[in-house]
Amino acid sequence: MSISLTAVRRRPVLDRRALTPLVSLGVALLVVGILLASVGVDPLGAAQSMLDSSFGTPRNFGEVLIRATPLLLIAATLVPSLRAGLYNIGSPGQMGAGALAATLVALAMPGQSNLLVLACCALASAIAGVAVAIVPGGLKAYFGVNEIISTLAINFIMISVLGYLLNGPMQSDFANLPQSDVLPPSASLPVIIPDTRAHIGLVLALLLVPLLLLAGRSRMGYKLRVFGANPQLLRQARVSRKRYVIGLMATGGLGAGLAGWVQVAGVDHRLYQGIAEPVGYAGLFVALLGLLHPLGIVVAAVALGFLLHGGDSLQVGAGVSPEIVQVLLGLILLAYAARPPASATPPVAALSDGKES
Amino acid sequence: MDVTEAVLNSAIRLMVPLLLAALGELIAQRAGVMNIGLEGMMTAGAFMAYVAATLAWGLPVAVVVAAFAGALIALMMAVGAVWLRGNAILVGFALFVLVPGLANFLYVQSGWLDATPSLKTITIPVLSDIPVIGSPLFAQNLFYYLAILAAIGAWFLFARTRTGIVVTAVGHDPGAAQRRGSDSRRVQTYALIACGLLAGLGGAALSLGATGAYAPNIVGGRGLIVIAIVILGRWTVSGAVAGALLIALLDALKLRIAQGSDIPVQLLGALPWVVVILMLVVSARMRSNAPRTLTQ
Repeated sequence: MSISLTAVRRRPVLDRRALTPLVSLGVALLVVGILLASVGVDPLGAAQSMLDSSFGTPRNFGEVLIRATPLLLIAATLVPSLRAGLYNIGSPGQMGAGALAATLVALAMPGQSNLLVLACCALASAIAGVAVAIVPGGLKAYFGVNEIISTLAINFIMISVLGYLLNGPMQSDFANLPQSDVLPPSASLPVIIPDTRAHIGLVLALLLVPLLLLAGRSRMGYKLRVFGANPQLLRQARVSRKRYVIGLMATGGLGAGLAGWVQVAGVDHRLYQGIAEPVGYAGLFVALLGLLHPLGIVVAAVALGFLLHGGDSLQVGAGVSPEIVQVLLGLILLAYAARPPASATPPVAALSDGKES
Repeated sequence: MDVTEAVLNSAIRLMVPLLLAALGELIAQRAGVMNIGLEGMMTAGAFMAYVAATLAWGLPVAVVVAAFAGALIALMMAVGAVWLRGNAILVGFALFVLVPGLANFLYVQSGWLDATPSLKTITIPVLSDIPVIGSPLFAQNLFYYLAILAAIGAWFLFARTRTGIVVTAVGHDPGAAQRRGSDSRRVQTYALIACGLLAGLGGAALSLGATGAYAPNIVGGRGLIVIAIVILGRWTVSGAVAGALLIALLDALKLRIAQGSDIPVQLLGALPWVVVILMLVVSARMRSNAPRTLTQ
């Protein structure tokens, strides 16, 4: 039992562990630079154009912030489950469901007051995200189904469902592309920083941070860390494993559903099939790179928001195809994951009946 | 050719990539490594086979290049998850994201669109004349025969050889296997490399063997379906064959249904995933053969 005591010890905000994500980021950027050079793109020029398009003007920085917003929403709600060793990789599917629900609600109530539409959209997206997340949670709790594979499978199902709806019943009459009608103006999120597109969703995401800090210090947060470190201990304390699993998955679904809402109502203003890409997966990376710490994920969300936005603008600025963003994300995670276990790494599937790797 | 024969024929063709990858994943999981990076290994094989074929290096070279490409990704998995003792699930997920992204990037950036020369159908005389099952089972392309050989090889490995027993022992208890004189890390590394070779071939069966070209996201989650196949097949070779055939049969029927009815094809795309989830629910009840480091 002595292991659990050291493993659940509180960590300082800044210590040497903060180096790990920085090193991962550095390695990933270096490899991508080499890759760009090998296909004939000047990596320093590309970096310059990424920086300019992200920090050049307040408006540009606003773009970074709107990229960071859904990332932070997802990461903040994933932290509890990751602390307990539960891998919810279903954020893209849950985010897609949230965006779908918000779009349906917004399109169904044109001409209503802004506040009412916003509230309904938020509620609908949260319910949709939770509903999609509860399925793998329940399967894990009652049937012992590996949550990684089930959540990934549900992501693919969600893509099929969106593909069907956007090519059929929901397709806009004004576009040949698989996308929905434009949302009514009353569904748009209010902008909080003038001259940018940074919207109220950022405040919502930032509100989760103190909440997460408080939760981490509560009885609940302590139990979660014990859960991650030593599941046997809680079984002896007669804590229901099933309720934890479902609750933790639902929490992640809540954040991902809301992320879908802010993405569709604050940025894109219409639904399309790839709405959750690459934000859904990137939210998980933000949680890991932020070392599962409430303040760490804020920094990581802004950093990845910069990389995602900068990566997109490379396509216009330097003629680099947008797949490079996926390469960068994969490299960051690889560099982060390929190292001996430390207490900042979530324990391997401790919520299952045993170890899974 | 009647309907049964046509469905069976396309089912066998669709089974080949799944079976090759499933045998690989089976070996890795029997050695105790949950290899989520399988998708990346298949993508590497699919892409490199296409590159080799486009550069006109010839079919044998393309097949070897694909296998080695898969093995290279497997080596990355082995370094990250086995030697550096990283979290196998996260390392695998990183490869799941990284390799398809890299292949898509290189494909789009290179601007190649050429189709590769189509593969010859190898027909076995006499046997292929059997009605209904003759043509599906005895007139397929090279990858089908490779898959059959690999299945027999994997069965022989686990049923008849000391090596197979060592791999299984490491999967059940790496510590105990270590104490009895087999180097667990080395066994897991070799198992992963074998997995990468087979997954690379499976990828090549998708690009060269089926469509004759690479397309972005060509593997499209098959790596995950294969993991479900291995779990449902209770970590046995015969189970892997049956599971791969089941999913392929569903795929073949899906194409038929889409032609003959008004169920939208996008919704049918969700079908294999629903089956995967059901398979996992069913298999959760039968864990007899599970490597003990994976599930207890």
